[in-house]
Amino acid sequence: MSDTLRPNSSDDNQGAQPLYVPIKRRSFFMYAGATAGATALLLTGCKDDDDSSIDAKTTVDVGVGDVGVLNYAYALEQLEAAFYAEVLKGGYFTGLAPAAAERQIFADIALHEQIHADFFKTALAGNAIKALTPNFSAINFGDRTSVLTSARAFEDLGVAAYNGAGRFITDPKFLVVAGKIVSVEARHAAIIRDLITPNSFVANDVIDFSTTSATARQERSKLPAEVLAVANTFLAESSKVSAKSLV
Amino acid sequence: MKLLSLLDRLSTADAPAAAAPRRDLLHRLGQAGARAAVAALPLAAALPAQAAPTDTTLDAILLLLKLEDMLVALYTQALASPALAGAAQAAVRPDFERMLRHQQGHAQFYRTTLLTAGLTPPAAPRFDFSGRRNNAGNPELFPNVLNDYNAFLQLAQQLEDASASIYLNQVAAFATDRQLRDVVLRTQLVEARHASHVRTLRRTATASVAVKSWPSNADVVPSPAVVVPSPAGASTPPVSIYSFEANEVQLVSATTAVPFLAVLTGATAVQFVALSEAFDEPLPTAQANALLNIFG
Repeated sequence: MSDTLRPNSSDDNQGAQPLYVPIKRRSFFMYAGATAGATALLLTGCKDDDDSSIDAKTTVDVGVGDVGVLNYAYALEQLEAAFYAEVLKGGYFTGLAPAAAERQIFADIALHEQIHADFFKTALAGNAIKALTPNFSAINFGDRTSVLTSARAFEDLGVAAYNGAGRFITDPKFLVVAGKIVSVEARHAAIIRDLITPNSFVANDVIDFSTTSATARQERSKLPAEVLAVANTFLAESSKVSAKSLV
Repeated sequence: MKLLSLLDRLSTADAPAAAAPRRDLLHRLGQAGARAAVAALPLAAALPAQAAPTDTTLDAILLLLKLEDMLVALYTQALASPALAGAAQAAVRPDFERMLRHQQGHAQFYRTTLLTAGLTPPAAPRFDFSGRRNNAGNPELFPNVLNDYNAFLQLAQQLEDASASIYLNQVAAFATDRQLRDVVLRTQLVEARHASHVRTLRRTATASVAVKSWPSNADVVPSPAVVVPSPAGASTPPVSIYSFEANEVQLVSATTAVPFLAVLTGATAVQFVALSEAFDEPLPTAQANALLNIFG
């Protein structure tokens, strides 16, 4: 990919030089991420067409505008779909009785998440980010508690992510589609929470219980940077996701 | 609409664009262009069933306020009635007390929004969940809702599902107002969590009913069902609110459907019911108003 990188005279600067030397690109990237100032250097040193080339190996940026928001959603749906696909293969799920309610619930959610991921992939077409490689080494798929608490984390994260990203959407068509999907994510989050503790479907950690604040009795939201910091802990080194423009 | 013309007068006599956010809201609420902008949404072109969202933001707020008032009334009345007051329901009372607090918070938000925009919020109607419209001479559409836990749950499920769907459709009316839109989106999710929970309660009740936590074509169909006018017109019989949920086709443009059958393979080989389960669907404004008018 490095052969597609090229000097850009107008933005040329010392900090960007290593970009043209493939062998040092990784070390430059680590350096650039170390401080905000250096990150700015990276951004000014790379034109749009350069970004994808660099990001392909080290990290994945979702892009700008509505495409950025949809890719952001696609990344999270990919992660969720991969998680539930692993759940279906793990000892906790395979050990459930054939008629167990939890078996039906996880089988259904796995399908929903795969459908969501496929929806975004199709909607984004050529603009879609690559297929991400997850890293679920922190999750014990043979253990009910580990699976349920991880599922709760993914679902609540997904809902908070949509809440925090809605403001970046400009095309109302995407707003409604995202709403149709996140509405089902909220239903997932509620049942997973109820499986852990009955009547915890909207505990105080997901709803702002203030009666006076501007967000009283609404779902909490998280900005992309907060969400991705968590999501990236479940992604392989080659698949770390960033959303530099969604701030 | 009286309120709207009042609003128009207020907004034309109003201060500069840099005024306080609430005044800004008032200005935007009264924008004459809002109607046209909403009607021109690409989604409207893509989905004929939702092709006529002619609401302004104010219409949407009034609709959502009535919806929240209805849910407040449902839980207030049920908590004071045999449906939830019996010893057998002691374990689930906190669930409904919690949902009631949410709905009260939502209703209060819309009232405050209207008040700060200089409007007098309408009082909550006197809701009647028997379907008799406060007239004992009318036929009882939903018997025993306040006397029987299972009858109550069945209606609560339909109204919470409808609430999530009504919100989804109204989101478009807030397209130009990001602050309000943010609130509406987030409130919608609380309604979706409620709906999921009520469905879970039905499934786990002593008299268990086979419903999933999301609307599914595999659900046991509610009877009596809450019905609304068919989108096909007045000459067609009314339809269940779940007829909108049954949609299995998702469009990525006006004419292109996502080919799920082609992309879903292997371990997650497609099951048709999952296609409609995976998306909650909007309930159009005409149907939403008709639903609210059944009860108040």
